[in-house]
Amino acid sequence: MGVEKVFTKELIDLGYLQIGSLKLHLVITDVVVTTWVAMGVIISLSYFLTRKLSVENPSLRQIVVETVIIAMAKQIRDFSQTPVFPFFSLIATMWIFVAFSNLIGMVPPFHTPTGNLAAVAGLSTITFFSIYYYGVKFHGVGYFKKFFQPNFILFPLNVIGEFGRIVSLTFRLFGNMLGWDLIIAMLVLLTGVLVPVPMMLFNVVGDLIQAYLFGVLTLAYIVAGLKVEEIDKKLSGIKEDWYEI
Amino acid sequence: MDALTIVAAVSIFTAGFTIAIGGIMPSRGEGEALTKAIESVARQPEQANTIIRLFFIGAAVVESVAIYSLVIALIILFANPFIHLFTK
Repeated sequence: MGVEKVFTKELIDLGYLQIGSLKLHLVITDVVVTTWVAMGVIISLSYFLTRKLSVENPSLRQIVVETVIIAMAKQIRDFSQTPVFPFFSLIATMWIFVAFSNLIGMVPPFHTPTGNLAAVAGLSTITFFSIYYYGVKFHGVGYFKKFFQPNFILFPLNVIGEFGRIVSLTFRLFGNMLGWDLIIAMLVLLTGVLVPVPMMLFNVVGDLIQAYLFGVLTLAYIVAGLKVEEIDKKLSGIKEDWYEI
Repeated sequence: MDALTIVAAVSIFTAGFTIAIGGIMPSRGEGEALTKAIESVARQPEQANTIIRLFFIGAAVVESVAIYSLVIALIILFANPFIHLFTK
């Protein structure tokens, strides 16, 4: 059955690792290889695109990169209504990496890395810990008081809700990517080679929207726990105007 | 009819029903949200960017229910947890 080709393949099996009662299956899949390729391409692109920057006569390359960076900064500013400085590096990196991982699946030897549950769960783990990182950074340890709001009886429900939104974030990206891959694979099976090309063009739009949503929902979860007056007090010294044209 | 046949038949049937029932209400909800968003943009074109952004986020949150159904249907079809009890 050809549809099975969209699932993760195991390349090298390193056997099992036993830690107490925990049994880990160590295996190198094609997702790992594809993710490292994506990381290499992104790192080398960001190195070569930021050489020979100049203020007087910027090159075309520099103008394109600046446009992308400014667009991302404006999106973050519009959403969080605060200076973008504390959030910009995390959210912009997530946008670039997830969008690139979604799109790399269209290049023939690679599979979509975000169509694997483990890869997306890793990305969501970053989201999960960054929520508490920013909470403690802006509010101190008192941030965890929100688990006992409005009443301490609701503590278990708050914990479940906290995990629930991370699980929904994971399954949204994973389900969308795997679902589209399956649709295209079934179209290839049912029809010919060139018929699914319009569907793949739709897929580009879907990939970019899912990457945008992953970053924006991360930002929404981070900002939702913070109070505006605390952020204003902490960030009042920062004057940002580099993204205003 | 042996046990494997029953499990396979019920699995296929359930997978189809899961995604069918799980797709109805999220798509209705998203359609209603889109209607309201278009109405609001027509009434206040200067707020179009904010409304469209909020619509995308809301649509993604509504859609997650349909995605759960899709994931469960995929698990039933491709990673069925009960089929290995009957196959060697």
